[in-house]
Amino acid sequence: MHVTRKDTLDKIASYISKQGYRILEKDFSENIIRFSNGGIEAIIRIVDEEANGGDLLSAVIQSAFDAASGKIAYVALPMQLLSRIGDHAFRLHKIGLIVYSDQKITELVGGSIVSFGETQGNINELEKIETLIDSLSSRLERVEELISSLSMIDELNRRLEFLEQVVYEKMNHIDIKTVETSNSEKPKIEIYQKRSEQKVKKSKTDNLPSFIAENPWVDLLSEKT
Amino acid sequence: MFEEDYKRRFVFGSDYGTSDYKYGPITLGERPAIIENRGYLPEKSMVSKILGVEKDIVVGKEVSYFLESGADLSSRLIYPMRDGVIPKGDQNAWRIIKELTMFALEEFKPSGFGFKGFYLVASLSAVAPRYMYENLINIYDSIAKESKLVYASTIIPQPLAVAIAHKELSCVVVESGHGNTQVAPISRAPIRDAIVALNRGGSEANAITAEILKDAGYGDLAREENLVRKVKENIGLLPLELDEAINYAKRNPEQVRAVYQVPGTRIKIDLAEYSWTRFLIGEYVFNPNHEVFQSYFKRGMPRPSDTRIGDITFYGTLDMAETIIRAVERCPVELQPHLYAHIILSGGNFMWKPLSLLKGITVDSQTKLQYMLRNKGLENVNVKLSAEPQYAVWRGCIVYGYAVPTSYHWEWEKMEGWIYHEK
Repeated sequence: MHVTRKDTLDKIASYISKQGYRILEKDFSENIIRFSNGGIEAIIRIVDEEANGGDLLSAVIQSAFDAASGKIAYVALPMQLLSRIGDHAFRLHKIGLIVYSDQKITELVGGSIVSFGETQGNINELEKIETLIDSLSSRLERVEELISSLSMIDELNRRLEFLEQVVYEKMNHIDIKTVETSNSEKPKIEIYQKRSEQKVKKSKTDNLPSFIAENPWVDLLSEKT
Repeated sequence: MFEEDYKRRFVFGSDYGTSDYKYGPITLGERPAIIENRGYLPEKSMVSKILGVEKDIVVGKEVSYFLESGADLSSRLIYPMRDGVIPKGDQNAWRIIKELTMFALEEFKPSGFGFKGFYLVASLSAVAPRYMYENLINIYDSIAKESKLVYASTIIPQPLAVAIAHKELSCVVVESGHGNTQVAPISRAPIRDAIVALNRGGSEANAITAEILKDAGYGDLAREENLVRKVKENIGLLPLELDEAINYAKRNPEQVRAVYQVPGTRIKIDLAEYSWTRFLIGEYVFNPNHEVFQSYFKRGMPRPSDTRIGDITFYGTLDMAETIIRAVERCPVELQPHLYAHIILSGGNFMWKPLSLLKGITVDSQTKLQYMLRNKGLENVNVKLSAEPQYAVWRGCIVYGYAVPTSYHWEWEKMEGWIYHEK
């Protein structure tokens, strides 16, 4: 029994339908079937049993264009042709391969897998970029936090200096008051004892050069206001 | 960080001496870092060739690389503080001062947190006019803006720094450098109205040494300034009493004979029958009024003249003892005995060493000055020579910076306090 090109196309379309995909178009003149795979268009280019090497080559090249334009590309070959060309090139270049005979239709190389694989690769790339952006973003946040800490340190430093100034002025004030009080209430000798106690801080000269130690100028100069 | 803790680490002394620049932070301990107080203004192409970088001014050890550059050396190699005073319009000298200061601060720039700039204490000659203070403050301002190495600065007179380093609250500091001599009475602060200055320093001793060399037949060598200075240092003597020393020399020519072999050369200088003139070198520093010097003036040696810089008169031929007396007598009478009791000599012009063979004939500076002051009727005089005069000013700067509170702000009327620089 002679199987026509239409019969073959219908059989393959039927096979695709049975797989759960929606047939979009059966083009007998071009010998192609368009179907939808999860919203992505797939095209099967059928090479019939009478086709020569040129027809095969033409179908494969067209499929390559289909794949390049973002579609899922398939080539459907008769079983006897497969034994001559093998499926290696299809796997290598990620073009789907369906083989058919009178009895059977088989999807040898999953076009959808190949096509989805490329998209997945893009997704992976996107995911990588997103991860990188996330990482950069978090690092940037850390840098911003550090800068903010530095500003805080500066601010604390400024506030500490201000407090030092206040404490220093208060100490001087207390010192003067002590002297005034002492002047009115105690003998003069007491005043000088208190003053020298106050200046012990400046006289702590550990780890300082010897010319600072017991230098009367240190106390004299530290009283400048 | 409390101010004292901060200043224990970041007070920085800066002594612009005539020959050397002494600098460094308090953490250096007893002695500062030293480089020559000079700068070289190279041809740009030459700097590029030698250093591989473009620089307008070279300071520090790198200057040595240029010293062989020939005839224009004297115009390009500049000692900005040669006479203690930099002319207002001498831009090159001021540029060198800035470069030296930057060089010094960079050398000790700390790393890590907590450093907001040094508390910089600089010292200038007691006779430095106000514009020198203003120029120096502008330089520090500019350094603070450019590098943030200066947080606050102040400037003190060198004699005050010397008094502080010697732990003397009331004293007279006699600082004699290359170009001039300053006598500054101090009583808890410099008594500015009492400062008396001499237009005489080490360079005058060099001048008479050159004349002596000419008389002894070494006129060709007398033109080389460095050699003349070495001859002065090696054969110059300070007599206790000049007339007696000359008489002794004429009676004992061999004991006084001055011979100097210039190291590393075949040049041997022998003053022979002119060896008695070696006493003139030291005497000229202390008293150029002796009649023996008249013959040198008549033959063309310039007589030190009175001159005026700002408000200060620099006397040319006033003897050293009289200068001190004039300074002290400008102070309250009650204070004068305390000042005579603590006279400190500082500076390279007082480094005279007596010869043991000529004991009693040759003396050191403090003995000479004590002798001169006693001859003028002063009894309770105590003169001491600064132990390490080259470091005294820097040490005084460090003590001043450590002790003066940060809240004490600069006032031009008092010429003291901290100037805070905007960054």
